[in-house]
Amino acid sequence: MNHDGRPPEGFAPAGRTSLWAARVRLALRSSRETWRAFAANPIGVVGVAIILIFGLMAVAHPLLMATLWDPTTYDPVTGFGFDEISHPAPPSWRHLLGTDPLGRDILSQLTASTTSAFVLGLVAALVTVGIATMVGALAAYYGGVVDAFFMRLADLIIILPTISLLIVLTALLGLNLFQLALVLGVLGGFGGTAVVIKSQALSIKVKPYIEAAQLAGGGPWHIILVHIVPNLLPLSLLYMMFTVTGAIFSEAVLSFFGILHIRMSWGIMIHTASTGGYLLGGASYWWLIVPAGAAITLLCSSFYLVGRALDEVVNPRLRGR
Amino acid sequence: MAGYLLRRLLQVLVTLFLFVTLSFFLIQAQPGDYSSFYSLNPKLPPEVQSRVRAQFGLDRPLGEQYLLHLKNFATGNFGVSFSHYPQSVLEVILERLPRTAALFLTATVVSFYAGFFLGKMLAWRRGGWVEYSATISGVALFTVFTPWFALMMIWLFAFKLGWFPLGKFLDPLVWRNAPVSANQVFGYMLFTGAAIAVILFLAMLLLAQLGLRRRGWLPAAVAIICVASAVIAWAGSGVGYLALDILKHMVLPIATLTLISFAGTMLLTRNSMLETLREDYITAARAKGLPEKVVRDRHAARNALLPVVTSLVFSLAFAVDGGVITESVFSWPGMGLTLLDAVLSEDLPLAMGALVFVGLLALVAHAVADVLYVYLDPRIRYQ
Amino acid sequence: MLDQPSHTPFTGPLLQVRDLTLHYRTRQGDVRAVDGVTFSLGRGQVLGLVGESGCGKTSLGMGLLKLLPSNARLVRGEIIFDGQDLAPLNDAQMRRYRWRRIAMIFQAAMNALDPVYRVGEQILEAMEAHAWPGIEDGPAGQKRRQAREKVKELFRLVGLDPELMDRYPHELSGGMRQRAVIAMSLACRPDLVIADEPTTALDVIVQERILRELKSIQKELGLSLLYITHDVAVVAEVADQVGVMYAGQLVELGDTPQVFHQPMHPYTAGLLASFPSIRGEKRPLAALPGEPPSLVAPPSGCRFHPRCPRATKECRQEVPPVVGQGNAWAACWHPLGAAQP
Repeated sequence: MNHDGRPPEGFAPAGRTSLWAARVRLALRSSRETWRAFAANPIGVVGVAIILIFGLMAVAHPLLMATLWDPTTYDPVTGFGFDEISHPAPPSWRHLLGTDPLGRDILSQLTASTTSAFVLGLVAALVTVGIATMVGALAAYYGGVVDAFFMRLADLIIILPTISLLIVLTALLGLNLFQLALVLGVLGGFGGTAVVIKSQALSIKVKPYIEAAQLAGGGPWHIILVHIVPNLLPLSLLYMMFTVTGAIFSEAVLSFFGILHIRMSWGIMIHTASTGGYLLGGASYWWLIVPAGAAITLLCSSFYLVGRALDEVVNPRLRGR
Repeated sequence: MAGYLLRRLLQVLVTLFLFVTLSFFLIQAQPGDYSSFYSLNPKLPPEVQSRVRAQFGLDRPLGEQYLLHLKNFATGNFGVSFSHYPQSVLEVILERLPRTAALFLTATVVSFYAGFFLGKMLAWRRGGWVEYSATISGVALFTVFTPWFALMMIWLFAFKLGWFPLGKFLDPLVWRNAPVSANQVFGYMLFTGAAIAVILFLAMLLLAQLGLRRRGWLPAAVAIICVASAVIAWAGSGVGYLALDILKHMVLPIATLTLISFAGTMLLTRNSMLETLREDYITAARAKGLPEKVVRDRHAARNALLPVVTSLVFSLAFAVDGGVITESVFSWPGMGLTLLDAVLSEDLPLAMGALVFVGLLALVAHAVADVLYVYLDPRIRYQ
Repeated sequence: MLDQPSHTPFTGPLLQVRDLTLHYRTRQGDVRAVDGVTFSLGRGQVLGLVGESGCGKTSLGMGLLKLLPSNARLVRGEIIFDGQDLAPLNDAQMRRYRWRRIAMIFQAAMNALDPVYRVGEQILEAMEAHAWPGIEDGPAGQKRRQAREKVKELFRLVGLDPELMDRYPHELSGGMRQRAVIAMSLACRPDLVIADEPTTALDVIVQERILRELKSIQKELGLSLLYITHDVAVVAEVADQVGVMYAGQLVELGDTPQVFHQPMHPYTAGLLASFPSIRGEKRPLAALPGEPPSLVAPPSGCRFHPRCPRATKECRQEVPPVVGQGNAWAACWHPLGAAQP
């Protein structure tokens, strides 16, 4: 949120590039401060730590597949633990988290799914924030019919139960991981995030430097792209975190219902256990659902916690509570 | 106030119109059309296929199809269900809607009250391990993977402890020689619940008019009398054991849905309350020598309620989704399970119909929350 | 500051504050918001408390009612109100004094009214909490009706249309809300009213009118008034006595005309000089140089020495002595009117 500390227009001699260079420098400087404020909050640090651990898991999977794990045994989808007498097999040294009803290694599935969770979350968050920032800026800048249309659309998406809509969508279209990320991103971008970002954009629109840019002859697109959007980025970043939580959660639910075309995910792991009828085995087959369920919950809550902590940094109103 | 309500109503109508349009495009976006699905389905005779083509106007231009879609929507004509043939989509839905509404309403009301109460208390007594652990478990419940949580609830309370049935709507053994149908019993149960709510509400109004509401035991006594007379009436009706069976099946899904939706309200109330407590009118209320409980409930909590009700809109969609998940895990035959089963058996008309009604449920809940807000905030009431 | 005069010339003062010290615990350390303040206020008198923002005058006002945030601590001192020390009382015991004996008119009165209740309801609520003071005993409904009449009377007293009591705060203008808050402060017939910047947020004309009305109400009801403000001109208009606060301490106290015409403390002189005279005399406007000091680590010796034109070595090292007597004194090494060192 450095729009107040930005040098006035006259100090950027060669126009856009140097303006952006100055912005980057200022962003770096303020990011150090932001980090200090962020790190003061244990909740956010815990969130970052959990995300890093999952990041390590995502990196570890291809490495392990290339070195220690033989694909015929350890492939998350096609592998089979020939060494066990029956499946699902409880944890052993060969299969640290046991095997699923189809004889596949749970740890391998767990780590392989981490990658897809990150890809899904990242794509959905980027699409959401891209759309929401543009919609918010446009609605705030033009107002009137543009604003009314986008806000009613946002109302609709906020009210619509996402999971229910996605269930029908998968039935009509059949979604893979990437398409799901796109749909989630579009829904998020035109939905609640757009409303929040628009209200922020409204407060930027009335700042004196916007008027100055208009008087200097800046066109609407120039003002939106060069002056409004950059100042929306901190808030956009914050909402990326919440989008990631929602995306991972939605994917897991749909996979749990078994209606997505996805190779492997935590939701599918629980789905496999559920269709095999092992769920009510409860404690005796814990490795079938506890690791996957805990992974979904942990990663979702860690992004949520980081979002909450960032919220306190970005909204000075909440700081120092 | 009337102006504001009218404007909001108009906005809801526009949203509804957008929703109908969106559902039309969803159907259009699929490869092929409705009738090709019908023709592939061996359960359906060919004349049904041509009837469907005529009903949805699939041989006409797009514009006409859209108008027909609007008309079908307005008249509740969603076609014939494949999987429940010859039942129409509307028949299937009307049978199941009350079950979902009961689940959703009970869980939403209970979770709102519980979440608001706990959030209020957390903000009032800040610090210490209570606040810390409540916040942590709140975040955990808020972000927990819902199906997993529901499964854990079943495993613990139904499987391990055996307190409740494993799922479903009723126990066939109990109902083998039942003189009435389950839907009839359930209808009467809903009626009883609604009647108790209305009587309680009227009693509270009456007590407030008489200036007796401050006596804490009076409302409680009225509530106990209401519930007790309802229980006696059911016990005497001869089908009380059937109602009890349904009730037993309801407890666990409602508890699950309540637990996952209350955390959001609790966390939000806490934040909102902390913000409100810093307002000058709270200091003023203290300076006036009002008892702490009055400062907390009449002033701080009353104002903290406003943003919580506003965001109820967000959590309503969340709760409806939670309901869909809960229903499917508990095999509770409501709208959510219908939606999922319809998708899994490629019964597209039923899936669309279910989605429309789930959306309508959320839209109605939204409108109710809006009216409630107008009632709660005088700044809007008198605009 | 223990050697400040604790006796007063008033017979049976309503409020006697002795060596009152309040600290706020913060991450930077203890903020000594109020440090050894001693004064007294007689019945029917008006004491103006003046100082720059952040000098601890609001903390002092809130401290008298013990309405402080949770990180505040009453370190020592006595608040003797009508013969009873309020300092050791707990919250339940304090409640009997709040509003019934000591009422308050808040800074930014617009926010002192709860937005979701009607104005009159908020006044009745205070009366109900204190068992309807001044209302004849009877059935609940009848007492309430009488109390409503009382509120209407109060509204007329402060120059408001009695019908406004059934409006919500947002339907009232700033001046109306301020008057309603004044009416509210009088509802339980208190002996003392603490007014903390009651007119600051209003425009000058409304401010002037409300000030005059407040003064006449005070005279009419025989109230004691503690008037806290940063505005020297306002104090000159309403107060019988003036106390000047600097950095958490009371540095000068005296009768209003005396303090205004012959200030003893250099800070008082600076403060007076930085305001244009309300009587329109032409005087050069001299602002005080420098910033008010940090209350976490206040300057040694006299707290005003870094900004004082008369500061010497002893000012920097030693706590200044009290000059003058009775109800006219200043804490200064080199008071004005005495010879320059």
